[in-house]
Amino acid sequence: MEEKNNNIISTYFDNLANLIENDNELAEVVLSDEAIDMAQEKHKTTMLINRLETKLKAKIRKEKYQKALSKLKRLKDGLKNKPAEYIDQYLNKPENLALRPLFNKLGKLSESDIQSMVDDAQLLDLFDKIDENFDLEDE
Amino acid sequence: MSENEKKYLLGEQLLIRLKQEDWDDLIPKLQAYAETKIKAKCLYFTQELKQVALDIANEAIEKLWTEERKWDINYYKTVYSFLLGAIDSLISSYFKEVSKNKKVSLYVTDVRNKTITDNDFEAADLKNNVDELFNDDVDAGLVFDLIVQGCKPSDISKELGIEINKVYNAIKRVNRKLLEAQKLIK
Repeated sequence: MEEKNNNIISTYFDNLANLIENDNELAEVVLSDEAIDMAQEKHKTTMLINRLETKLKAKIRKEKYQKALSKLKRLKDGLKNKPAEYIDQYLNKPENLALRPLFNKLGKLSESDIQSMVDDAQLLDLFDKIDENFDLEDE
Repeated sequence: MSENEKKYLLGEQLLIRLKQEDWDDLIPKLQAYAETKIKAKCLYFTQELKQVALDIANEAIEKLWTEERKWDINYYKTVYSFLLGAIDSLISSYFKEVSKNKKVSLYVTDVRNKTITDNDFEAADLKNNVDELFNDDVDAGLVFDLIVQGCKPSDISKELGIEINKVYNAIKRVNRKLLEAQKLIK
């Protein structure tokens, strides 16, 4: 009999858990506890989320930087095999005119240049566009 | 793309999506869900287990933000549903681990997927012990019964003709009585 009672109590709590999603008040009722300061617990979790957001942003930034570096290397290698006229023709197209100043910089980019360009995603956009047009992906 | 195909939300897309969430609203719900699911699995709920529930809710959040547990948005349509899945999985792992050391008493059977049928519910011997708990509190007994049957607080309020706040207060009393009863059994 004890086992059956356990089952019914377990069902009660399972159902209660499933009702919480659309019921803020029910969440508060469940959490009400004199021994633990729930406002403090919520604050701790909020602080945790802030730290996790910072970590995720840093990870994204690092991944972009690494992607930019590897694309730059592939691009430099790939351009060696392309005739200058072909590149000129591409950059003279009206829709690509905006790329030319960035393209001209590629040969003399320093690490700090890359970092600053990565920050606003300009460089990755440029590399993506060049990859697309010059088939440099599979060097 | 088929509905069953996995589509993970990662990197910048994940960041954008997570920043749109109302975490002030989500956090207490996740904590409450973790606590209640532990109560559903564990015969003797203690302050130590309350802290475990809070830790598990935080760990689920951490696994999402760090991409340690990847979010397949075709399977879990919302952050909340993804985090509930993560919490369920962490609770399950926790109890597997502690039951090896017999630190906590679990319910004898896993009833997560069991539905109480009318026959089950009406069986007198099933209800006797639980009913005794609510001898002195009719509202709490009725609220307990209705939640076991899957009713939500607003439905219970209509069914019993009492204000919703009284339903919430009754739920508090039910939870307190069950906790006290568990201590006595122990």
